[in-house]
Amino acid sequence: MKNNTSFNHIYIESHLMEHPKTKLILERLQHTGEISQFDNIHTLIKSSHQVYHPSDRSKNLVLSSIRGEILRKCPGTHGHICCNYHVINQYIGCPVNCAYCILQGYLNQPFTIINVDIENILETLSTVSVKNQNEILRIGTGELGDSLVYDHLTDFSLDFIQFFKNRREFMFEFKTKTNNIDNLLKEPNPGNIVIGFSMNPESLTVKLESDAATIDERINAASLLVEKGYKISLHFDPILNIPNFRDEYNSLIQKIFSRISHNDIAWISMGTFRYTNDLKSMIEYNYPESGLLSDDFVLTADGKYRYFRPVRTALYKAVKESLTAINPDMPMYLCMESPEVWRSVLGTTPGCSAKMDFLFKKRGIIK
Amino acid sequence: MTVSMVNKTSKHIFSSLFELIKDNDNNTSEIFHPLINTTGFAFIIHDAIIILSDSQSDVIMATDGDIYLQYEYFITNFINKNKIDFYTAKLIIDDFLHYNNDEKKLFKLFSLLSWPGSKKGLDIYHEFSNFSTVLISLIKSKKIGINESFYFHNTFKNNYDELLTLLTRNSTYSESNIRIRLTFEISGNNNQNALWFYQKLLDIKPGLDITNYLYSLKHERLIRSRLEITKYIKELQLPDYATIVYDANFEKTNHTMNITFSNIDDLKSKISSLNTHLSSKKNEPDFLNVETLFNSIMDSDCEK
Ligand code: SF4
Repeated sequence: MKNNTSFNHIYIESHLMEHPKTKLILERLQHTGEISQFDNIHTLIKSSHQVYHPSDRSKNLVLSSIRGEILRKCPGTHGHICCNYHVINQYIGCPVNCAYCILQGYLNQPFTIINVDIENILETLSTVSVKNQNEILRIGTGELGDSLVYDHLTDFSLDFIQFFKNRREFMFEFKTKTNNIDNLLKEPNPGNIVIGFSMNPESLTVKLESDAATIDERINAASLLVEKGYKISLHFDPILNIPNFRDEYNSLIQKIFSRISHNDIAWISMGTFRYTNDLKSMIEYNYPESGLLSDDFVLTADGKYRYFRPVRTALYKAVKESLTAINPDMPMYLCMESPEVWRSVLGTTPGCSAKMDFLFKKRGIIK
Repeated sequence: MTVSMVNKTSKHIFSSLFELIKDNDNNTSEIFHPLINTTGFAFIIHDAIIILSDSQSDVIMATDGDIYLQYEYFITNFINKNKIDFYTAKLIIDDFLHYNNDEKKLFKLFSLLSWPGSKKGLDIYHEFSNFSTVLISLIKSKKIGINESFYFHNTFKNNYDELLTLLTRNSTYSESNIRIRLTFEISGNNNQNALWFYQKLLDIKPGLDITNYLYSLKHERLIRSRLEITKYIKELQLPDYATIVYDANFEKTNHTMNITFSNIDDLKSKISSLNTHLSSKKNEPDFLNVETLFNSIMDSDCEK
């Protein structure tokens, strides 16, 4: 995995110059390049050029404070079942350089943003309450960036673990493609922290996730975390229609479960590759050799393009079969899929988008 | 204001612009009317711009002002932007870069010319001089978009003129672009490299609808599903008053039937006749059952 500790230019929001996290990050970066202050991030964005390639975006760093709604419901899309997940945009931008990354189509600022004001985030979280005792709120920071890729600079994982320690109504997930887990290994799992690893066959990760940890490194990290008592989530997303996909995904799954037990799994999500028109034009330009767009894609209900339905179903079924061969009770769900695909793959739908909790109840994650 | 003549290299660009001005219906172009077909006129039309018309009806801009502002003023006020083709845009960018290296202004100029933005725009600009003459002439004649040209050029690298000519024959601007996009998308497929694709396309029969052909190459299973279900519905020989509508992308499992009727008795009678009619039909395999349909097309080629 690439060591993400060097930036060309750092921009710091004026009132955060003395913030302890700013100081910590600067100390760890030992940055010798330019540092500027700014008052208004919108003005900063406006005065900058649009950036296309994610690696250009990750050359410059902005230390800023979180804006807008701090705890957001994960943006499920029209006609598709969402998994009732909540996100905190702690990081905006990501240096892992995945060719299929949806952020290419969303972000246009030429820098990676770290929102350093963790105290505001935690204060907001402390005011959130769940409606009934049976409910559990799943929260993660991996929506607009990788949850752990900058953790060696920020130590946010330690702050979150400390905060969620005694809050059993929350389930907090760090979602990553790194093995940046040193902080996590310092703390025993309080029980409600899940570490999510995105997984794809090695033939794909080498080609399409150039700056991520290798699959062996991810599996190794997962097994170290299990030893420390953490639950693991697995994200087969995006699943890609590659030659011999059955064998490729089956070998990957065998490899994972040769190191960790199905009992250590909190949940498993599956999602096939999908794209918007914006993402398409970014992939064409940024990763023309990826071959990602060559397949048989159709426009679906939420305006995204997905593999033709029988292809998606075949891909999901292949992954599901390999997983259920390990254990028939694997806690699987589909990410942003239509009820039709849910039914033909999992034989059921969770009813409505907000009712994913059945899965976690079944798994004993919700008591 | 000191007036200095611009370098001769600009002249050809403003010739192209002048053609556009002549065609412009916009009222503002009235300013230029006295200029057209007249020789030796000079007009001050903006603080920083002087336009001269010489005996060949060329337009030459002379100024000591900010070159970006002049372009902005000139293009915004006197040119129908839609008429600037990418070839002219490229010449304008050449000219701009001759005088000014300011990246911010260059990117503003890109946006003014509807040229792709930022670094992508720069990459395309730099690669433009390597485009083949056929590709450039297609750009000039507005037969192909700039993004498509760039991707096509990058995919097929050299020696693509024959293929390009075939793809753009008898096609409109948008049709050419669709064809070009489908071409490089299909050729990016792991199993189908550019050479394979090149040969396959050159082999096709004269008269074949190229757009449809490319579409069905890219969406092979989708097209097969549509053909199968259409054939199945046709074989049902429904009466005129009843039609079946299926989701063209097969995202939905259910279909819709439209029945034309005039009152409740008419409806009852038509449903009853339909029932009788359908009962007499052989319905195996039932391709209205989308899973059955999918099984039939996925059997042999589920994996790439
Ligand atoms: S790790 Fe996630 S956020 Fe980062 S580049 Fe890859 S897909 Fe995007």
